[in-house]
Amino acid sequence: MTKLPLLEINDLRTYFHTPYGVIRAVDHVSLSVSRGEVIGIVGESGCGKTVLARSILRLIPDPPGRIVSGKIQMDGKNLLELSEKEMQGVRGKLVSMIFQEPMTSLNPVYTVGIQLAEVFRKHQGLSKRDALDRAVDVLRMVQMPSPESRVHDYPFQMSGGMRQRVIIAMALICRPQLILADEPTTALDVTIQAQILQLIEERVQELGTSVILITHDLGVIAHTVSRVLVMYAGRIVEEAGVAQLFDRPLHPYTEGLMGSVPSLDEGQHKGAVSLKEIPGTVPDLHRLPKGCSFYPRCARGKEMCSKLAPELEQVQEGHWVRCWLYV
Amino acid sequence: MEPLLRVDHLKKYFPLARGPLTAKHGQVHAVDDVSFTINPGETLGLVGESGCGKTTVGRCLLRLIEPTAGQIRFEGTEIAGLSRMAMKGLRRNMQIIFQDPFGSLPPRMRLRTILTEPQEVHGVGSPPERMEAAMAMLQKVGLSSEHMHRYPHEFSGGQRQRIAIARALMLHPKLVIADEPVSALDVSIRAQILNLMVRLQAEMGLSYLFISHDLSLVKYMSDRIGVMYLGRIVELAGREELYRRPLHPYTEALLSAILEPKIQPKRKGLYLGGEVPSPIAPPSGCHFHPRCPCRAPDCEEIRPELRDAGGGHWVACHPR
Repeated sequence: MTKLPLLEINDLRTYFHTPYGVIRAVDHVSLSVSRGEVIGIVGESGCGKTVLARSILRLIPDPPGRIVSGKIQMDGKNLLELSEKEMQGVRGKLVSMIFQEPMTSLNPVYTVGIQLAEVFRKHQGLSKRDALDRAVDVLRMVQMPSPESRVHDYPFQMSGGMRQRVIIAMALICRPQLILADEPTTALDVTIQAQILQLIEERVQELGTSVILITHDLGVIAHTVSRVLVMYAGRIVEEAGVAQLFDRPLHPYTEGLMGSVPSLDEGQHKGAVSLKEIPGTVPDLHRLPKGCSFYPRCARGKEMCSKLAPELEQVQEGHWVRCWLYV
Repeated sequence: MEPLLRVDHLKKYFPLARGPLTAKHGQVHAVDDVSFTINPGETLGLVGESGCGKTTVGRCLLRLIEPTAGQIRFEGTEIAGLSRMAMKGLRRNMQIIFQDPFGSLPPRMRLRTILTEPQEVHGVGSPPERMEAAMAMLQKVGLSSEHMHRYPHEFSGGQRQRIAIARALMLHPKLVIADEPVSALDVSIRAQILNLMVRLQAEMGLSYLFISHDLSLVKYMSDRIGVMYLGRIVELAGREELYRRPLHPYTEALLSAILEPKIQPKRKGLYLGGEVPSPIAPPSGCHFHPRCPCRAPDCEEIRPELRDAGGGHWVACHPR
């Protein structure tokens, strides 16, 4: 029996209209997430992964951005058809987001207690005092040391790891069905990253929340998610179960990404092996080449690739790729 | 073999603001008695998390920040007391590449000026010779000389870092300090820059001090590695030796926290709790003792010195 998807995105297009042209930040993206599933979206800057997350929450500034077409089905509703007031009932409640830079997503002029309490007051109608008590509880849940005193701290008085715990706490308050985690540990030290990923994993399992984890870090992906979508220049170029993807990456871009990270195995050092390079740079989104957008950097490109853009095709059970090499 | 660079008991303490209106006194012990050597042609990696002092060490070597105490000897010459003129001469041999390819290039200088300026400042060659040298270096770092008239903002992050490398190499230095040279770049560009650095090292006989928080990169790029924690070196060893036989509990924790991009069985590694303490009031004795799973009574009282564990492997940890 197939699980009913919690979230289903159909042919989403989010474009930005600038004086230099149209930026197709998210270009015909479809994906689905089941209840309790943790999926990963991997890609570099400019690939559209953040715009995709913000499109789900309708946080795209208009102008210059606009969700041009598509459907985002969740809980029987198309999120793109809701009014702004209805969306406010979705954000933080049904779908929460964790951002990369904890300093910019926390308000610097309010204590973390007040900011956490705000969520309780707005979404659960609690009184000021009750909300603050709950704020302490929720800090304890994310393993903040001395939560009763930390609740009165300002963000600047906390380390990056602590601030990220506050953000996670905030995201979990209303027990959302889906969490969008956009590079949640990129700005953190590696030992703190380990703590934070463990925390997210534990809380998510407890609550049965689904997660879309967005990152450029393949290591985080390998250890955290069950299914992966690889994005490049606004499109999904490969989709597979995590074991499938690492066992047999199909798209040359995915292969390139994996090969560019040095292995910790013995003998894998400079002088002995070179890191696998992807030549060139990420394309200008308002001047995408004709045909496959990865072709200019592809070591295995054929003439056809420069003329016609490939579609996303299923190559194996559960493994999809957008590449002429596999058709 | 005489080391190229020899650092002994380097310290850098930053004073906190003091005055009638502030209650704060004391110092930030950013670098707290650090010693190491770098040999000709080798790469010493310096790895650690935020606040460990690795960036401050790099800057002290060039006296971009003045050390509080300690000796720094380059090719036998003590740097600390050198005059400005003498220091200028030294900088021909020691250069630095910074993390931020956006902030480290002068925004109002065209590429041709950025590259010819180092030789001009040091009175090397005539203007046409300098231009020729700049073009040759540009080619070496994989850029096209037709962009000589451009400003930094007209290049991508990866290209800017290539420019920063080219600029650093214009005077053919012996030692290049690379402070997180690829952290600000996209993943697919990092390999390009690292491969370039490796190639240039072989071609030009460079030594590197490779500073990074990324253990996989450090292992790849370095011959020997120093692990720093809260201003001190806690372990120093050859590359393979460090990863195969980590002796310090902090090194073990760092290694266990690495997430490799491959499917691995769930490891029961050393999970390190807590946060890095403040460098203003670091813990007594061994700075790591509050978070250490193997803590003994001595550890709180006595600061462990780096001791020889054999085979070029040094560790600052009381024998357990």
